[in-house]
Amino acid sequence: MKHILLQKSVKYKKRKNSEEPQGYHFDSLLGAWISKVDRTFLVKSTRFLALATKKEDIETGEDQKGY
Amino acid sequence: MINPEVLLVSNRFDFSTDFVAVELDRQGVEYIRINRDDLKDYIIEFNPIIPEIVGQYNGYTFNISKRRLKSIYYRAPTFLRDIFQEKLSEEEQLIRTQWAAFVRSLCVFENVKWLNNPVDIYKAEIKPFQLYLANSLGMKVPNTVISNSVIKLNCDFVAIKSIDTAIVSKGEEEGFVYTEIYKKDELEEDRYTSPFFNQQGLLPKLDLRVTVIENKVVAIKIYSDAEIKEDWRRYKNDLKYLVFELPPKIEQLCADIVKSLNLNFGAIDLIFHEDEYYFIEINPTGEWSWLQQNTGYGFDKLIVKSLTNV
Repeated sequence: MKHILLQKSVKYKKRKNSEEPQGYHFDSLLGAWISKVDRTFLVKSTRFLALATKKEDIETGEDQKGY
Repeated sequence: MINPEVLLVSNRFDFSTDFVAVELDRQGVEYIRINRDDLKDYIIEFNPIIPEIVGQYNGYTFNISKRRLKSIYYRAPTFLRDIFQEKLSEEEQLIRTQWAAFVRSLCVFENVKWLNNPVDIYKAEIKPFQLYLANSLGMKVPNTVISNSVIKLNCDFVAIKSIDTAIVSKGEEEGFVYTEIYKKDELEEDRYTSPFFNQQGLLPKLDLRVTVIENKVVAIKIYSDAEIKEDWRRYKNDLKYLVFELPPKIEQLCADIVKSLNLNFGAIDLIFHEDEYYFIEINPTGEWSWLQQNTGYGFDKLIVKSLTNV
């Protein structure tokens, strides 16, 4: 019998690597992603959708926060 | 040469840290962000006795010293031991294990303010301990039994949840375990190979996310047009958010829980059910930037205020 925790777990295809935001690069001095075009911050962009809980961060999982 | 007052320990794809960096930059605070996924490209000299770190990365140099450093914003795993990964090269295994050990070694900067210190995060992440502590401080908690069997609790609904975050891997797929709420009669008293929470299911409910930064307590109601009868995280884009005023006693209890865990930051899940506030769990490294985006509340400014007010 399948473990009760697994019976309704949400399945998704594993992503191999985190995908870089298109049109942005990481500025290591500033410590943030900025636009390649106008150097505006990704997180200030109206198109940016912040991840909710780490449960939605399916690349790395809640505890791992990346490798 | 960067001589930071604030150190951000994070990961390139942790966008919440971007908010903090942007605000620190705006306020003219000297800071440095170290991403763990970039560490293999750093040149580091770390004297743990002083303690002091001199480093080079991407064309700039930095000196992290206890003379200047005021605070550390820590967004990294605590007990992850990434060893014996057969599919990785020997060098990659060393990169993972030894840089992780380096990050843990930052604990030598013990006289700075941590948001949060990994040693405290480790204990604070233990869900049964959270319930025990919250109850001892006077917060209501759902009736809970940990077992590897289904227990028929004396309530109409039973929440079945993992004791710790459960992500399982199978072939090309992963599976995430959410809390599931069952009607008591739906459950059979079966035994399984590993334990889980059998917890009093609180329905109907109002979900609240309470973000605590030192003494500042900000509650946000999470709701939807349809009644949420399960883990609200399943609803993703259908959720709405509203700043919510907690009774002073509950607000104080939330601050007390965070302080008792020796944390400066905590993300607490509460449920309002039948006129009572129940503590569900706390995440010492809980997300907040999505709440900022959905409510306009300046959590980044609160975090920076905490990091700089030392």
